[in-house]
Amino acid sequence: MNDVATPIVSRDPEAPIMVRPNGDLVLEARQLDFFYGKNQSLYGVDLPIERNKITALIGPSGCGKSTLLRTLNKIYDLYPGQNATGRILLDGKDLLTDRASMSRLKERDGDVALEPANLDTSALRARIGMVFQKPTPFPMSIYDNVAFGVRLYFKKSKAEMDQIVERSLRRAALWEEVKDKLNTSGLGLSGGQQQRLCVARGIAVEPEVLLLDEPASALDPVSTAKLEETLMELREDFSIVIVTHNLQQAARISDYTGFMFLGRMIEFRPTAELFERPQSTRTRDYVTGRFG
Amino acid sequence: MNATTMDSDTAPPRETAPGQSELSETIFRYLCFGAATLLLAALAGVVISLAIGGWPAFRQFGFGFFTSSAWDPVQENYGAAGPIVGTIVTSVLALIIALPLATGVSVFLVEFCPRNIAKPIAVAVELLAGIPSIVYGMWGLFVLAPWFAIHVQLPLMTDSANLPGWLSGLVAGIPNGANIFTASLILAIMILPYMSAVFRELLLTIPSQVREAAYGLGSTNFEVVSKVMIPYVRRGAVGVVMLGLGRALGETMAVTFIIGNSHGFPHSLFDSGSTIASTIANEFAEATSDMHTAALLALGMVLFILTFAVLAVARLLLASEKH
Repeated sequence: MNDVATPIVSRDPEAPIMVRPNGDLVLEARQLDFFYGKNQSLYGVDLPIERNKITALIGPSGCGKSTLLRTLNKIYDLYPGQNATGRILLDGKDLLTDRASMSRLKERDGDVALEPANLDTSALRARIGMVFQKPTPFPMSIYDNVAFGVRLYFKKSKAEMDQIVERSLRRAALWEEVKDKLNTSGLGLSGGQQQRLCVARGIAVEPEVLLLDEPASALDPVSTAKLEETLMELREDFSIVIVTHNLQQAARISDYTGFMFLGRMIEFRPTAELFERPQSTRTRDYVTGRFG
Repeated sequence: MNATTMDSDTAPPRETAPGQSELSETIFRYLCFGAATLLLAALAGVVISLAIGGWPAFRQFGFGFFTSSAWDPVQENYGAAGPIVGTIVTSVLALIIALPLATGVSVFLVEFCPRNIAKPIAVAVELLAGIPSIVYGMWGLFVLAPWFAIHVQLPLMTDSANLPGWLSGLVAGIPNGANIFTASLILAIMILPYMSAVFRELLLTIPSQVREAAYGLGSTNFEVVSKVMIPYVRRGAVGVVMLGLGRALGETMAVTFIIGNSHGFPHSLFDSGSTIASTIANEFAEATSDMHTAALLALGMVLFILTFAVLAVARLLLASEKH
């Protein structure tokens, strides 16, 4: 009677507590397993990402949240021995199936023209942008950093490119600080500026999803606040997944939060619910600071 | 009291006896200082004796020592333009040949090669550096030179009427395979291991997140390597080039075997020539007159300055790479 949560909690203590978003899903992981060689580091993880929302992933170090992020844009593919099984659906298409079956699927669907290229790994990564823990500006000018991804896929005139660069920098809240020195090296910016430059570079190609792996952990509080503000505004145009160690940050900016532990998704719910009424005792212990 | 605020006043007294008395501390310091000084003194000694020994030649021929290509021990007339140009041309050519190869090897080892194969290949490349230069020289003289003469020089000679003028000028020469170009080839093989080893180390310093960020934007392998990774180590790569150049400039035995050892100014790529080091190696035992010895020492001084300048620039560039 007074136990409102009964329908959600499963009898199986291992089963995740999932509250699926009602809205349109842009990206979804289903029953995802991940292996570093013989070591399994994700166990049947489900992760629904709603369009134009911020989804936060929290959990103690080594719980698999960064691994999950690296699986979503197939960065792990660069390293032999790392492998993922399960399904990752981007707009309903499975990213983990191989390229050959992908193009067959696309031919049948007849929508090849909509893609920037074949939906191979490179093109996929262009649709799912990623920002890392440490800023990763390339050794080139601020302008070229932002234009980098765009130039890979599109032929743009100088004027169009100028517009894209300005718009991306504005959206990343960096334009005012760098507009007079676009031709200086991106390596010369402060850490917070570099991180927002990486955000600008990531959104310049208009990805559908932006993945951020602890983007603020190397930043001071002022830069962190600016970055968070930027992310809240970017939600208008992009779907954002952010891994963070900072619970307040997750609570402040995200719409959904997933709590992970030892490679499993323990609880995934709207952020306010997860923080205020955690269902799993593990989640409760973590968000109240009892461990982790 | 708080343990973290402990300072020297409250530090516990040392219970074991100090290992060194005041005197032995002083002796130790001076020994280290002496070792360092000795090396510098040896360097200075080499420079000074080269300068003194070469002085008569510099005085007699003046600036002409660098511009004249007359090298005539009988007439006691020495001009070093031939060996100097030969040294620079062979070294630069070797660099042009070795640089793309070194880049390819190191990029392959760092970026594409499965890790269990990368190690053996890296060791094999480093083994190249362990082959004594005289072995390279013999291989060059007995294997490369005849092959080159028969399969490259002779066909080009018989075809020379069909070649454009500038090209036939470039490849003119006696078809014996001992020339500037084959010497450069041997040099290229010799500097390749050093260059690729240093280049590989440089590429390994790139944070993996920068690579991942480039891949994350949808770059292909080639785009990541050419647009992000190589620019990332740009300055260090210049250092690699200089290091290779420094080695090529001073290489003696292998070049002496295969360059043809003629003193004049080399007139084409396939013309025989000489380098500073090969000239000194060939003639020092037979230098009977004082002026001949002085001219060779002066050559040594020139080589020293060239190599020193190149290595100094390399050091500077490599140092500035460590952000």
